[in-house]
Amino acid sequence: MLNRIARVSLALMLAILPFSQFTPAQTASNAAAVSLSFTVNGSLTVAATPGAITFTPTDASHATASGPISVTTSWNLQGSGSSIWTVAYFSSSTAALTDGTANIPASSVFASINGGAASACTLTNVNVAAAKSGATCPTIFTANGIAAQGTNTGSLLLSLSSPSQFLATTYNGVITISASAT
Amino acid sequence: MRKFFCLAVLELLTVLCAAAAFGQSVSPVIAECGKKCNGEFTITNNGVTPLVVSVEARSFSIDPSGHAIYRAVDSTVDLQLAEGSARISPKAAHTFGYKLKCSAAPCSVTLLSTMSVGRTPQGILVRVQVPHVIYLCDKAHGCRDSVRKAAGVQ
Repeated sequence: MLNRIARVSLALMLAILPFSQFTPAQTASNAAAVSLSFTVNGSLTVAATPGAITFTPTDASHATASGPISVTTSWNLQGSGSSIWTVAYFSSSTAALTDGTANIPASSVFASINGGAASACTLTNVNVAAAKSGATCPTIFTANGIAAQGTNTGSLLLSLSSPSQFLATTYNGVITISASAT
Repeated sequence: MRKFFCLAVLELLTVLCAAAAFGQSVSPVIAECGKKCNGEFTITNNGVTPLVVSVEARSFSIDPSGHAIYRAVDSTVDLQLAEGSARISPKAAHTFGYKLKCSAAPCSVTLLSTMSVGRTPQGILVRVQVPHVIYLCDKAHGCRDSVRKAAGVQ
């Protein structure tokens, strides 16, 4: 009986041996993990074209600008729902343009936004960064609850209109295109 | 004659600079801080001429429409700017660092960066201004949302 068992076992071993001997061993390498990270900071861009404008008199108390100012506000913010506001303002309500002595007040500077009706740059608005009362032009762009990414292009066409004749001199001024975000 | 030629070239360059498109970017736009607030923001000159950037600070609150209402910096704000201005080459960027402490939290401060290009012999020069907005609370996470929510912003 024992011999029979031994013979059967031997036969089984011989039957299995060739396979176990020649079957290639399976090996698995360790998994190499490479972590990736990519951070894109939010950004806000304001571009204005051109960087300066000149005025041409149409009569003694009116003048037109050499062209509109194209204002592009672009944003890429983390998450949606932010508020953005782009406005133009002068740092002085009494001297939007000046030669140092003679002044053209902001009330004589008119702004047309995107071809709309022209309004004097006399808005009083605490939202303006410089907080100069009475020297803000009509809003160029405003939006609340905006998408995370976007672009807006608006045009700002200035003109001068005075109740009295402009004094004969050369006037200079600075207009600030200001974007705010919250 | 030579002097006249140089002046003419200078004038032409001035006009070209003033007429060129320019713009500036700020990144990041919004920062949230805890009580310890050391931060920085980067201004990029997207134009083709060097620009001088000046930075000024404002405290602000928010109205229900989400707009910032600016005011002079509160007396409870202790802001240290590493630099108040910088010259940025064309297509280059400059990073401004700051430290902010507020004795009364939450507090909201905007750092406004302003730059202009060229000069104009007559007319109006255009400047561009972009904000870096800092919300400071006891805890940084969710600070902006809590300030906007408290202001009633939908």
